[in-house]
Amino acid sequence: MTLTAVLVLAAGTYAFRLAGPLLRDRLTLSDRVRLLMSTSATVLLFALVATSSLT
Amino acid sequence: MRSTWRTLDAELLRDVAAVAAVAAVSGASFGAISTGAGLPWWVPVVMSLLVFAGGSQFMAVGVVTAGGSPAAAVLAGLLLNVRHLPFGLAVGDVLGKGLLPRLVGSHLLIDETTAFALAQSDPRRAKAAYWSCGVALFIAWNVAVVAGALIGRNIGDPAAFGLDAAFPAALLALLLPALKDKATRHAALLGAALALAATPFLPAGVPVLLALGGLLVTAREGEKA
Repeated sequence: MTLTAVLVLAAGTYAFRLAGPLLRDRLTLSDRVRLLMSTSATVLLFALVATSSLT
Repeated sequence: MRSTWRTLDAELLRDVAAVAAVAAVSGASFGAISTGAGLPWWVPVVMSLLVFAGGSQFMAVGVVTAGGSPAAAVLAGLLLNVRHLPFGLAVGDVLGKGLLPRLVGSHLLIDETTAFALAQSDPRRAKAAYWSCGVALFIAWNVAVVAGALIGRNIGDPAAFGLDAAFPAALLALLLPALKDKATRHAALLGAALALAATPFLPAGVPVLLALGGLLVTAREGEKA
């Protein structure tokens, strides 16, 4: 595992993370969309729980 | 009111400590497995500081030690980390408007901090929960990885720590408040079913993303209301 590989993984991951908080300024999100975002986070986390404990 | 704050703080600290303990054991395991498999000590340490996402770290190291290319390892890791995109959109409010909090706070965006923030109904408590959990986990995880990496080097081939059960259990506990809502619960259950069904057929990281299909349930239930 080269340093370059680690840096690429780190950069890509950080981009995913930063996108949400940065884009929020440019997007006005309706209440419905906000609720959808929260629900989708819960859904993803729950799926992570299910797949990591059951598979 | 102050007594309520004190109670909440104690409860929050207890929850954070519990999650940090799980992270520490998992981190030590990651460090030990990495060096035990022959990777130089700086690989798990730098990965833990810069990537700071356990699932993708285990995944990437797993691919490389199984003989895969670094490119395949990075791709697998990135796939596993795509979920941070909706996480960031969901908890973006918590980090506020300032650029520095958002730049620093984004690095602390992980499954646990997302779940902690979402579990709080009050925005101030969500912020406190996010940061206390994030900082605690960053310290616990990284210190543990260093310790594990050193141990792994000296012991040689460490036994797997078999703590796979602790991480999902801790995460589930954090999700319970959100799952009280019927629509959310239905979406989560359907999503989990989709993810589990897809797991034998798709590379790691992708099945979890399919769980978003469960949201179709909430869309329909929303229209009925």
